Amino acid sequence: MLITQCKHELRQLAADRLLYALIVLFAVLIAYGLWNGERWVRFQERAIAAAHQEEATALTRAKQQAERIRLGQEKPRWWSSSTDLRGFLWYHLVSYAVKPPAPLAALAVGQSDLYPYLLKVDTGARAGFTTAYETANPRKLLLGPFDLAFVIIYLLPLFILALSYDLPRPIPCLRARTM
Amino acid sequence: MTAVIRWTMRKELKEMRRDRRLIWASGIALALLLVAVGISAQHCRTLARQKAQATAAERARWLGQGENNPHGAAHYGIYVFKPQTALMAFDPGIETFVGASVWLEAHKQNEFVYRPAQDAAPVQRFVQLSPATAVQILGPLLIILLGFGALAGEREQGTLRQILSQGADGPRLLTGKALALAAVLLVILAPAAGAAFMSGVTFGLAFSGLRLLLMVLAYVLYLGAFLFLTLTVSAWAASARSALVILLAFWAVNCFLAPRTVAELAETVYPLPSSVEWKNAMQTEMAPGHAVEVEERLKAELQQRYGVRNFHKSHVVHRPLFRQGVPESRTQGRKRDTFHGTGFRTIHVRNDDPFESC
Repeated sequence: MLITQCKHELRQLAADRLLYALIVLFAVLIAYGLWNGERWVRFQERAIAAAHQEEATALTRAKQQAERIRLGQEKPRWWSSSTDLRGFLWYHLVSYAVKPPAPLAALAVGQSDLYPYLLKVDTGARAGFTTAYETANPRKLLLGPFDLAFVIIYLLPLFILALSYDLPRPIPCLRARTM
Repeated sequence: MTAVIRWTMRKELKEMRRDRRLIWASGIALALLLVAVGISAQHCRTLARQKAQATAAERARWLGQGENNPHGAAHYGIYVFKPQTALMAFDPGIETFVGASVWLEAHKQNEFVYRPAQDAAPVQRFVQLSPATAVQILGPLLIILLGFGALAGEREQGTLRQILSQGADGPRLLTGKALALAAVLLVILAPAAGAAFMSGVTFGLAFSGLRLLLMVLAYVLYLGAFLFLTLTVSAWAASARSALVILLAFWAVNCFLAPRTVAELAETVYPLPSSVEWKNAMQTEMAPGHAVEVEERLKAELQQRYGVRNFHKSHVVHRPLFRQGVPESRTQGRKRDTFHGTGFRTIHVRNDDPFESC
């Protein structure tokens, strides 16, 4: 009986052109959500790569200067000398603490657009994370990201409602069954 | 012929009163709005108190620093806080996602820091219940629920023909229905909005009548557009049920789908650089500004041009030719390009040499 009923309902749904339109719409929305999530992951990865690049460049520059100092070609003052501990720490060394995106990060942006994933470790830093935020349009932060989680949490329930709000559609049939 | 409008209004209101579902929907909307107003008022009060305390403490610290060289005082700077307005109690807007305070110092331009959203629980981001969002999202929903059957229902029952045959004309009938809907909305939304404004004003926040007027006007236009859209669809749709489906679909697109989609698309079209890339590019551009050899060369140039022998601290105060100032102004033109290219229009006067300047 249950199987028959399921088959019947499926046939009913299949006859409804609205279903196909909604399926196409949702395929597009899900793909767009995934694409946006993936874009955000790529963005973070690019930023992290840029940070590592900056670290490497700074280190190379410090080494080159140290070499010039060793050869006597350059006599910088202590605060900009890479051979002075203070100069190296404050003027040369660049170091980032990094939180790379997790493997499933593209599925849900969550709070990651709000919290820092990259922090410049700085001996002179004032209060830790306060400035470690990504530049973002605050209005976009307010609205929230368009990711897969958004499609599932906000839009999928509406999809289900749109499909099932008049499920006992063929009223004569329903009457026939209950009689 | 205003009798048509009056009687249509009376009939509509009577029908709404008789429909238990509408009473419940309106009651729930009103309750949500009042909760939103309460939360918002409390939030506003906390913020106003925190800001007053922090401002007073920072002012006391600034005034109580004793005798100080102006340069030294400016070097170590002061925190300033963003002003709040009374309308914030109704619509906090992006307030939670932008910094509340900025540290002003002479040599660096700092970013606004301490976004309230940083300290909020994750669930607060999920449900941002402010009186404004309640009106923006629940207002249209309420209009749809109250008005989807306004004309389609009459047509299904066959009363539309009767009314028209009695001599009522379309425009007046529509006006009557619109006024009835507007009256119900006003009863539900106005007290909550008023309470929100009042709470903002009572906490001593700045109040601007013009802004209030513009805001009220914007909401009247927004809800008015929904009202007439509902009546239009109700008149046009084949049945009351299809009118409801069409309107709810539009509501979902307008309130949930469109804002995020547009924001994402905007970012796809105009991508922002990541802050690390941007800061890095800026530093690279500015690097020649404080390189020792460039400074030495500039010093020689200045000596040759103006005959300045010694560069003392006094130059910083008494002469326009001070050593720090030249490299800074020299790099400004270049920096403007970097900022311009990335959409940031600030001029960043910066000096990474704290030991020389104070």
